[in-house]
Amino acid sequence: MAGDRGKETNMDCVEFETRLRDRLDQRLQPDTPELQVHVHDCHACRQVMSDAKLLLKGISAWKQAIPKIDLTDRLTFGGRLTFASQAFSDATAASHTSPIVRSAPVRTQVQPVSSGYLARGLIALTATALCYMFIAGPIRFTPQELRRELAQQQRNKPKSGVDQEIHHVPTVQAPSIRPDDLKIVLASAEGAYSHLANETVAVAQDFALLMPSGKLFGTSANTGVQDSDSPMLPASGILPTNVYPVGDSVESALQLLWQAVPGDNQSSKSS
Amino acid sequence: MIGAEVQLVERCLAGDSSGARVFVDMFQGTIFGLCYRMVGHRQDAEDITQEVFARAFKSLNGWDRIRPLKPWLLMIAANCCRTALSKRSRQPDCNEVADDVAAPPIVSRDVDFAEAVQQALSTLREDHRACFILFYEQELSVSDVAQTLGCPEGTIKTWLHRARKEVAEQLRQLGYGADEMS
Repeated sequence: MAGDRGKETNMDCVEFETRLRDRLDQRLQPDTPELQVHVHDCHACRQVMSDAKLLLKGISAWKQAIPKIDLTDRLTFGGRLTFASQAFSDATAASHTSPIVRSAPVRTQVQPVSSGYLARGLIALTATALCYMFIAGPIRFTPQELRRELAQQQRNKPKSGVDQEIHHVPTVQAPSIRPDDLKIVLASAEGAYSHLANETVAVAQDFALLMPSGKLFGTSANTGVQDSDSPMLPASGILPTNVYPVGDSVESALQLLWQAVPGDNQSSKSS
Repeated sequence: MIGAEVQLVERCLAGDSSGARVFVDMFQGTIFGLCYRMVGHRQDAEDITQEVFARAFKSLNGWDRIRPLKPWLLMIAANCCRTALSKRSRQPDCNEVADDVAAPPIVSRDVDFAEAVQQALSTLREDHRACFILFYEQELSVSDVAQTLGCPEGTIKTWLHRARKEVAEQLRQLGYGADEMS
């Protein structure tokens, strides 16, 4: 078909399509006299031209059928936009929040956590982990690893009768450690924890000043603030509930560890 | 024009709320138009438009000041639409296409025709659809479409040709061909 039609205009179908595409790409009307002459003689290209005109007509109707929107209030006064250089802080913004806001994909801005606190937290965690490893050996991160180790011990154990084997309960021996070394480790962990706790009090106080009393999460729960030994005690006057649930647990754990030191106990620790 | 856009962006970066209003007023129609045509659903398009502006404001510093804002914003919008569509494709049965085209007062036949075009568009490949919308709805030139979608101009021309062909075929299948041309 291509190439043998429209000889009067010296235009074959391939050239027709190329010219038509170029005109459409330039947003020009498709029917030029030259193209019309070819279309007159070529049925296939007449169909192509017909499609092009139909499409342009459809596009003009389609372009009109778009709903109008006004998202200005929702976007600028929803308190969500954050500029690259600074937070979008307009004192009037909060009072202009649009009521049409629905579930928005834009995330609210979250206060970044200071890297200093993260570092201190990591130090405390590392100290605790080291302390644990001195006492109980390498940490098994998954139950599978622990199970594998127990199975290995079971295999290595010389068999001495079916009953004994059935009732044998494998035990993990803690590595030996000198009491003096353990004291140093415990004292370090305690110091790191105490430092972190003191820092947390300052942060918690700042936090409490920001939150209206009694409205923290809408509920109250009892935790460490009432504890007389808790480092949160100074903040108990301003904290409506508490933000320090780990105080007792950590202190108890440290106390137990001190009691486990051979030849030492809580009294020697406190001295 | 670019000078005015630079000034506007400077105002936005300085935290000027009226600047932000002007910015949104100026481009919301364009962005929403692209999003609406791409996803075919008003509420989704509004959400995506909101996300586009949020992303744009966060990365205003990254805008190349010697280029116009519109293609840059359209590029963000096209990416957001692509993300939304890929999310949607992973969800079961969320294929609501142009179910709420609130058209301005035009004759009903034109509304049907417009819906038919939108329906035909929804069957196109995403990149073909984006290309078609940017060219016909946003009236960008082929080179601007290429810049916005990050493709060579030749590719855009090919996509445009295929999109036109497929939409025309769909329209014909829907019975629009014969009588429209008579």
